[in-house]
Amino acid sequence: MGKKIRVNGIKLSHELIHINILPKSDKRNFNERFLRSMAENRINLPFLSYSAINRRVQGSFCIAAEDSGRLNQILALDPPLKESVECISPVGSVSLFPHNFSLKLFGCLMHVFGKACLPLYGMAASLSALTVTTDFHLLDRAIELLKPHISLPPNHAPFEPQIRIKSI
Amino acid sequence: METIAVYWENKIKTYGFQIERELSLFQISLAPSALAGLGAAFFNETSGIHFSWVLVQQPSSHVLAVYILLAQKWEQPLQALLECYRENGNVLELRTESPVEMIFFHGPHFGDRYGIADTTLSTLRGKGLPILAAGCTGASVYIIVPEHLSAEVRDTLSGVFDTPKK
Repeated sequence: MGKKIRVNGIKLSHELIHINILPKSDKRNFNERFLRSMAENRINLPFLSYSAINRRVQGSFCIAAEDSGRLNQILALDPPLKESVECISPVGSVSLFPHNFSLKLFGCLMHVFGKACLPLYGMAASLSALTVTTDFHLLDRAIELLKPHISLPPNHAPFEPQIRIKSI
Repeated sequence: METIAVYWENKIKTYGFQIERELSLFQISLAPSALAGLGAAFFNETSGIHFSWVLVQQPSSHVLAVYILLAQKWEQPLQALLECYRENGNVLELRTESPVEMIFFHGPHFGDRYGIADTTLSTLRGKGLPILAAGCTGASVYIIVPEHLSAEVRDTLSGVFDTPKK
């Protein structure tokens, strides 16, 4: 691997639940049905990935672990939807910023996660950050494995958000 | 100490919609065991390839789907890089859609409020507008659509989201 990539910061999420809508189930629009249920029950999705290429539809979402009770209630009331989802928890996300649209940083994350066999449930770019989701208890290990490949400002420590905003 | 804030918004506010055209979307399917090698190939590339957007999904425990969206000028360098890597038999499938277009938007409280993805995807589905890929993380929403559709997507979403007045 080449020289270190400059990164200005790392942000960690709180505990999340990762939800996959099983690909075989989309003939009944379970992705749309799941999203509608989340909106109707005022559950935020801090991470979403969706693809629909060549008639293969794949949707994955994260919700806060604190919403697990409401998720279970929703699924209990909709058995077909329950059968079409796979839940993984607790997971968490690591966001590195800025990504500077760099294929090198994207490759670095892929390499580190792949080499250490860390589960990679999803990754997506936002305006400035690359966010990857893995098992919550592996977040610190992921950061330790990334550190040899990235250059952080002096005294920087990965941080978790202190403020939670709850919509009504 | 935990701080809890609440707010109410009649119509979801955005900072406006942005469009990028003349893009190529690569879809690479590979086994998780091949992830480190592909990552190293990207890390060590020397052409200065920049992506416009990326996404990774795990359709099953034995397959990862990597999506890379970039300007068409980067299509050949990335294709060449992937062909070298593909010779080792690590890539299960490689597809390219080109040209495609991207529409993306941000807004206050995006990432903290519910209903944005549902509003976006259900509105576009209701209009029969196809989505190739989409992602929401942080305060950003990205939607990839076939060529010539981004303007219609923007106009459609402008009807359901609050956008800055010009």
